Amino acid sequence: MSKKWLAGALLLALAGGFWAAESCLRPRFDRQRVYRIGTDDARVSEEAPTIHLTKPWLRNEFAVVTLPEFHRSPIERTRSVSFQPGATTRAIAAKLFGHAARIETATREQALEAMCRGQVSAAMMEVRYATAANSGREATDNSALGKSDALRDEIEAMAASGELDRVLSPWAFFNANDAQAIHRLAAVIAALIAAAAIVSILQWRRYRAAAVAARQAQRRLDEVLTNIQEVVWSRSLDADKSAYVSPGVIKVYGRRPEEFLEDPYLWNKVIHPEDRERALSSFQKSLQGEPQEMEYRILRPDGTQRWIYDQIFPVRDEKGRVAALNGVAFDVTGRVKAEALVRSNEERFRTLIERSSDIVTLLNPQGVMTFVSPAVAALIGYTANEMIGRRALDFVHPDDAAEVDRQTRSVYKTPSATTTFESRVLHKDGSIRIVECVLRNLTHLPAVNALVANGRDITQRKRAEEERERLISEMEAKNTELERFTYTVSHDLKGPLITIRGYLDFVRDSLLSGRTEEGLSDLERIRIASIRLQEMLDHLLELSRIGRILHPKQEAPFGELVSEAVELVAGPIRERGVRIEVEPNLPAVSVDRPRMVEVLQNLIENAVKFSGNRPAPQVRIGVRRQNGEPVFFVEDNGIGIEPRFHEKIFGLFDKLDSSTEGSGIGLALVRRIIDFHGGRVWVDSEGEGKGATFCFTLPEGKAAGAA
Amino acid sequence: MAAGKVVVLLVEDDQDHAELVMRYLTMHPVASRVFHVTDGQQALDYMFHTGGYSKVDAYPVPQVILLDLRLPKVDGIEVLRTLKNSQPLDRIPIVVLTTSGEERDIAAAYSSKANSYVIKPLDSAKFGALMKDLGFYWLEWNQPPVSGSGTVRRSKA
Repeated sequence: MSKKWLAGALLLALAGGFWAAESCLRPRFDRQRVYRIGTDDARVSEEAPTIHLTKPWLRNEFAVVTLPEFHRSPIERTRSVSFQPGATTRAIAAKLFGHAARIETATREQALEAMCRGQVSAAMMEVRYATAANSGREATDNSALGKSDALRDEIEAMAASGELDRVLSPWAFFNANDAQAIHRLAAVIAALIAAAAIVSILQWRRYRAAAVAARQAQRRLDEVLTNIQEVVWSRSLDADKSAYVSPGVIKVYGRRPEEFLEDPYLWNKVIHPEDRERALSSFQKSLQGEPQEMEYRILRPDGTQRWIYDQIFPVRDEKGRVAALNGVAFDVTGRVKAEALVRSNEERFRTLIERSSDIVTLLNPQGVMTFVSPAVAALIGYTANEMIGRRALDFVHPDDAAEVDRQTRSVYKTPSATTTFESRVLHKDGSIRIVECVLRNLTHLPAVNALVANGRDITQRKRAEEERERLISEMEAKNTELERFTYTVSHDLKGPLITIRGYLDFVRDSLLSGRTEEGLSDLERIRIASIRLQEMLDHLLELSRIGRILHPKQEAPFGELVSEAVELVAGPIRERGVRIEVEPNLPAVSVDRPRMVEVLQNLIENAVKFSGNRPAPQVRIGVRRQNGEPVFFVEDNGIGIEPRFHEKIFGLFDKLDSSTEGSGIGLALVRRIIDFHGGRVWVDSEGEGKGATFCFTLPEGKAAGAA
Repeated sequence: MAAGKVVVLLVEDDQDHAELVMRYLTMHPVASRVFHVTDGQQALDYMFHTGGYSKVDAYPVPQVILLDLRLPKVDGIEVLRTLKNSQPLDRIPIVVLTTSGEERDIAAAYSSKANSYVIKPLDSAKFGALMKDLGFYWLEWNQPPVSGSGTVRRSKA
């Protein structure tokens, strides 16, 4: 719109300007004025612009010449041109102005009119004159009419000299060049006017647009300042102390902007007393020209408290002095509260992890620990710092490492997968702890992005479980033993009874029938059976005493116990000529002394009894270390025991040979005593004729028997 | 105790008990010849003619075996199992004669194919009656398997 409109206005201004200038500058063809033509006056009637020529010979015929713009002074250039007498005006004009000129024939009035309007470059008239020399002869000459003073002077000179009879005053006409100059001047003026007009229009439009934009910007700014939650403020430090506070202050501070303008210290007054000093020092710094940011609490008129984040930007003037302070105050109560919440949450979880007796470990994909909770120190003696950066597997018992590695890899394959396993870990002091571990893949959670291993020390629990298992199996063993015992007792005791009662009838029959010999023989059987029965009962009593009657455990050199036992078996040893060899340097043991002597006595007695009829029966007593514990042994080179009987011989009333003396209680007694000491007893023998070695262990530092 | 009499193998570690059994058996009209061994190993040696019992003629195949359970070396159940698992000896009737009335022992004995299970009575009269009945039943009434080898045979006095 504006461009077309502008172009139109420009054209209009040009045309108008031109017209106005031209009409002002152009000399008017004044009808009242008497134009002097030639020597006579020619009057122009008021009614009609017809010029009455007084001389009849002045022919009323003009050549009107319109020249192209570039012909400036045609007449001066063609002054010396001569022409034949009788040449027509037209031909003369053509010769004078050249062929580029347009030449038309017009009446004198027409020519005048055209000249006055500036429409033509020049007009020529035919002048007939008579010289004195050829009086009566009508001479014809043509002359160009123009403004040129030279021509005019020439013509006047000719007239003065009488060369020209009559001459039409050339200055009575405007020169065409004048008209052109007027036109050019008018055009320039018009252009200036137009340009001025355009410039003013443009300026006005620009000014108007700027005013509108400024109004809009102001409105927008007001809107923004009114609606935002922040407070924008500004304070001049000049003499005028002018200030501005944006309406946001109503929402944030609960006060109107005017209150702050009225009381310049209200800012400081609303700050929480605890924060006031800090805020003030920050404000002082801003006065030195340092931009500041600070957080402080304010108290609102309603009593509530808000957290404010205030930024101050000092503004310097051209001299570098701080001229004003601008600032933005944000209400950050929500953020501060959220931060406090996050901090307290973080602290809570950190405390939970750090105080927990469970161990929390983060593992990267290479199995390297990136975090270890402090509880680890209590578990395996290393501090968290010693462990971070090392592979978790380095702390796992070598026997469990492969399985732990397998579990870890398997969990790592699937995000959110979980596995639970037990593993032994190595304590810094070299001991072993048992850990129950829950391994979770949390690589899909950006906040964690790791494998999380929760470990718990279950060593105590594990030990307790093992202890319970051990007690249960011990109880079971005891139960089985008791069952076997009652079984044995009930049936083995019946044996002698059957004998006693079975032979009684025979004894009676023998007595009745007088077969005294037979009767006495059967009585003897009964007597022996009853003795055996009593023996068995004695042994059973003895056996049951082992569990019931405990002698206090005492420290004694094993060698001393052996000597004591050997002394008790001295008879049979001498009888059979058995050589007893006791190893020197036997250790001291902590035992129920009389019982241990009983054990040794039984073993030595057995060894002597079964040494057979070998040429050099020998019994060796000593101790050797086996699997880290001392094993005491009584070794003979006697008849030996086949491997299938190695267990059977320890049974109650079990004998391998019914013909051998003894009740079959000895080894049962030995086993029971050793059991009560917490040890084990067994026999090593490759078979018949290979000798036998009875071995037993005595756990070091363990209480003998159950209290 | 001449040859041709019914042969009984008594496996008993208690000498007195063995004597009792033999006395009652000989009181019985059915003439029998009792071989007594004192432990499980001897019993097996006897039956398989190994060890000290290699003379086949001296130790004839018994018509019935009286077997105690609690025996030194190889116990009664083991003897029972071994015999019942070896042909043709598995056909020979085995009577378990023991002091034990324990269910476990009875079940084990029958599982090992014992032909009969008898508990030794404490009362001597009953002991005598039992022996008499056992003698009658196993030596008189019971029809023993006819051995292909002819070593298991039946004869009457």
